[in-house]
Amino acid sequence: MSDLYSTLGVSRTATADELKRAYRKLAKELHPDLNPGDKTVEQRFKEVNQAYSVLSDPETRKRYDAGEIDSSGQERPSRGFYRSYADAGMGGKYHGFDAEAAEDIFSDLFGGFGRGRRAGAGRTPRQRGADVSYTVRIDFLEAVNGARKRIQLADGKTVDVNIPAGTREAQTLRLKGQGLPGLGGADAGDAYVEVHIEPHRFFTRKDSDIHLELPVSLQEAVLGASISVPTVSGPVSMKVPAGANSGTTLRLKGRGTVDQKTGERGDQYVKLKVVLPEKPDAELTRFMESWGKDHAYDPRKKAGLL
Amino acid sequence: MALLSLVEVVTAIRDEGIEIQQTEVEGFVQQDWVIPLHEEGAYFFDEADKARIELIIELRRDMAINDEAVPVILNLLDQLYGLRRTLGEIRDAVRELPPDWRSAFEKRLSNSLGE
Repeated sequence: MSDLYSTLGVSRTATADELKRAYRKLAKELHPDLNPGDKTVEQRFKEVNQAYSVLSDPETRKRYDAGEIDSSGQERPSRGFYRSYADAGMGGKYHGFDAEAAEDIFSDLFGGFGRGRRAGAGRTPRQRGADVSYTVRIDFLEAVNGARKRIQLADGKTVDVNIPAGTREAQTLRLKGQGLPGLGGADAGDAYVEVHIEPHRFFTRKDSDIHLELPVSLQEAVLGASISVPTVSGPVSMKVPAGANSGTTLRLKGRGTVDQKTGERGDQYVKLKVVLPEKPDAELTRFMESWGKDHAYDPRKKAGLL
Repeated sequence: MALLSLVEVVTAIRDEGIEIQQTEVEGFVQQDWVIPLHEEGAYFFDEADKARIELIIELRRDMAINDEAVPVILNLLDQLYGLRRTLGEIRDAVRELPPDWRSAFEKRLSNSLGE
C-alpha cells in the first residue's frame, strides 16, 4: 500500500484538523453505500479509512512516521456494506418497490404495476403498442387562441386535435391511445403531434405576450388620438398620448395569449411608428422650414450616435 | 441467517472496529432510521439492519452529517436503492423478451441515453 499521507492527499506535516477535513471529504466521496454499483470505491474507501485510523491517533502516527509500523498495519476485519444487502434484495422494508411512488412513470405501462401485471403470465405477453409522431402546421392565431385541427394519421384515420390556447412553437401534444395497437390486450401506444406555428403578417409573440408595430400619422403622434388597434382577439380602441414618438410602446393589458403554466393571459405591446404622408406636402414643407429655424434638435446626439 | 439482539449487534459492530454505544442504536430505532424486528419487547437485527447502523454511524461521525440531515440522506438512499431494484427487475424482464423486441428496446434506450 502506498504512503498513508498521500492516500489522504495531505502533506506529512498536516495538522490533526487538516487530516480530519481531508478524511471527511474523501469519506463523503468514496463511501460505498453512497456509490451503489461502483466497485472501485470500496477498496479506496478501505485504504482511506485505514490511513485515517493510523494517522488520527497521535501515538500510532508517531510510530508510523518513525517507521515502526508500516502502512498495512492494523488490518481491520472485513465488513458488509449496506449496499450489498440492499442490492441483494434485503432490507426491502426500507425501499420495497412502491407501485404508488412510481405511478407517474409506470401509469401507462401495462396498466401500472401491481394491478394485473401477473394476470398476463402464461398467455400472450402483453406489449403496449408503439408510439408514433406527427407534425402539424398551424396559423399564428390558432396557436394564440386555440383551435381544433384535423390531422390524418399514418393508417388513414383522421383525428381532431385540440390545440390549446397559448400553444408554443415545437410543443408536443399527446393523443393518448392513437399510436400503434398493443399486443395481448395491452393498450395502444400514443400519438405525439409536434406543432409548428406559421408566422403572422404583423403580430409577433414572445412567451404569452403579443407584439405589434403600429404605424401612426404625424398628427396622431403630435396631437394624440384614439385609434383602433388589431389584437389577437379582435380590434380594440387605444388612446395614443399627445407627443407620442416612434418607438413609444403602449401596453394593452390582458390582450396576449394564455401562459400554459400559470393560466394567466399575457399582454399586447404596441410599438408606435410615426409615418409621414406618402406624398410630399407643400404646406407641411413650408411649415417645417419656418418651424425648424427656431426649434432645432439633434436626436442623433441624444441617442449617443455622435 | 441468525438475527442479533441489541447487545449482540452492538458487540458485532464494535468487533469490526466501529465505536458505538447501545443508546445510539436505540436512538436510531426510535427515529425509525433502522427498523429491526420487534417481538416481545425485544429488538432483533438482521445483517442489512446492522450494515445500515454502520452506515448511519459513518454518516454522522466520518462525514459530519448532523441528525437533522440523516433522515434526508436515508430517504434519498432508500429511494435510490428502490429504483435500483426496479431497474434490476426491468433488466430481467427485458432479458426475457423476444430478441427483436429486446433489440428495439435497447436501440431506443441507447438513443435516448445518448450512447
